[in-house]
Amino acid sequence: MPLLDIEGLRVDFGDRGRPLAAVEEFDLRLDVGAVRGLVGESGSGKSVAMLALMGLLGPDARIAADRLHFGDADLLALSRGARRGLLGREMAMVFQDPIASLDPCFRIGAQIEETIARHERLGRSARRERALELLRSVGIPAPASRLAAWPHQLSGGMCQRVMIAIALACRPRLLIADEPTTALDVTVQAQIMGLLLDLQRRTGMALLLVSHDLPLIAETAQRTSVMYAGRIVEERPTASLVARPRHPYTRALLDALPERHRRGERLAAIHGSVPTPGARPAGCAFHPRCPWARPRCADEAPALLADGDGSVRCHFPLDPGAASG
Amino acid sequence: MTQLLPTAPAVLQARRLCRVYPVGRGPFRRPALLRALDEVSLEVAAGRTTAVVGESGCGKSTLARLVAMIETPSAGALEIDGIDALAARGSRRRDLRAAVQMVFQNPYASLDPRKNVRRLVEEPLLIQGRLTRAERHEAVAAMLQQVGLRAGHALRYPHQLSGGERQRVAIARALVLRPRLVVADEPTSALDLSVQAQVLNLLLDLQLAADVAYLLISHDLPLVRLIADAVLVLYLGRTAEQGAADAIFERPLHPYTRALLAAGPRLEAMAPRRQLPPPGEPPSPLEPPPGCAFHPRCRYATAICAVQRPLLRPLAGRLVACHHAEVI
Repeated sequence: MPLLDIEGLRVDFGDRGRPLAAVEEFDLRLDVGAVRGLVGESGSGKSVAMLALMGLLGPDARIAADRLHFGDADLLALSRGARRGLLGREMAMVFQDPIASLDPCFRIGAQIEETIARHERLGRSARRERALELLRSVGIPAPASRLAAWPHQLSGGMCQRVMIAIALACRPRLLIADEPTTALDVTVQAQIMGLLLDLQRRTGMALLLVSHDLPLIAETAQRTSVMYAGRIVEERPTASLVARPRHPYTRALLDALPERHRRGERLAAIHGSVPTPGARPAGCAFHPRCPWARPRCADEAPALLADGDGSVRCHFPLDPGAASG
Repeated sequence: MTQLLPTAPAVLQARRLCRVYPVGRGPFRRPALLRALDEVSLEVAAGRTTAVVGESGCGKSTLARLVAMIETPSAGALEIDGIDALAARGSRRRDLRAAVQMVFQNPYASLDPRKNVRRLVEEPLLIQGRLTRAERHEAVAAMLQQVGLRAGHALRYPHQLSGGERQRVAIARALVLRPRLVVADEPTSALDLSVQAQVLNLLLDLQLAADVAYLLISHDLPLVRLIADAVLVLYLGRTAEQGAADAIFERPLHPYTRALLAAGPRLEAMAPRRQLPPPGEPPSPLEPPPGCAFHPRCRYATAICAVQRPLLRPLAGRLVACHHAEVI
């Protein structure tokens, strides 16, 4: 049984009469202990989908799904209280901006202990011991003295380590990392990714890595889902996604990367810009920007269909190895 | 450095630039001195691109601000097109300021939301005060077309534009004075992935068309590798390595350059674990380590690195500041 099983997730904002769908027809399955990547640009709906899964969206978001299962729990059927009980204990999340995610008014140690105290009946000294052990496990030097530190005394990389320590405080089965290294320098980014993968292997938790950074996902995740304009457009093992993309959007994103060009070459740019949720084109949402689009793409929205080792949402999936159009 | 790019004359020559900031430590203590930039020299050839790379706090933005004459260096010399920029006053100084323009990272923050596109692009011309109203509007229309915006965009406001269009406006604003040098501070990193390549292509096209040089501040090494002719690697306000981009990317000689190049993710699915990143993070520029500033994080460091600051010296077609550059 998969750890996470999502089918047909939909998140609407705005008027009931004129809903704006941030996420539609979102499917995702994640096995116990697996590492999955979720790639998308800003506005693609990737963060909204994750917040909906965590139950962290505000009351103006309307969430519906054919299936939203975590382990053997049906998240849609759970009470608010039961849902809260899962948060932090079974599923945890790390966000992009670690400095903004920590409360500036409390010491590091207190913020880690707060999570432990919420879910486990432990004495003060046992909590402190656990907090210390957590700081050590995320590679913070001189952890004992850091327990008393304030967030502003730590660098961005150190704050992100603390956030990871808080997320792991109750040994969750699923960790969602939403752009965990985007705000950090490359050398620190490499350290944090190494740490996340290390912890994932050691604890056997599943890791859902959300990012716009395709190379980062490519070297980390076993399988990857690509989102565009609120929908998943392609899903398959990362190796074949990168080597033989079938959706034109995946292909175009890969082709536009600077590392795929030689000096002096113009980049293979995608024309146009990402449509806003209120102004998504009819048919396939990517068709106005797609070099391979045909008349059918403007009329009929494609479904996500099984395709080789994954699935793709395109009327005319690309032949692997075909020249770009 | 003149030997690196002998063909084109230098549009910017900076020698031993220093910038020191006093940092308050409370009302009754003397302020500490933060050396944001420590004797950095650099040359940008006309129509070419020089990239500045390094982690946050390395001094790259300070360097950008000094070159754009937003701030004055504490010491050092700055020449633009052969003219001493620090001594220039009055109209001469205004001309130099027009010759160096900036494009910032975030077009959402760098454009005044209350001005429309025409006004935003016209503003630099107004400040220079050379053209009539009709001439200005003509120049704005031509510039908008050059950056790929339609005439209909002229009356729109920033909130009516997409991120990519906004950055095109920021680029138009920078180029409308026909500068010799544009300082571009992470010009694409705030843009959508699928739009970044468009804006980069635009910058490359404009460089060819207008013969403008770029000082590119970036942490995106694949991008730097693609478009830069020369590279300056900064660490804690000091030059670690600088020279022709080809030489440095082919064979980096400073351990910090190597670490930076090795740290970025590679587009190979489940690639074997990258070379271990350097441990720790850059130390505070308020208390730089003695000797080589990188030695506490350097895997090649020996006793001398902790004591003696390495000089920037020529080696294998570039300048490098490392005691052990020959054996690395």
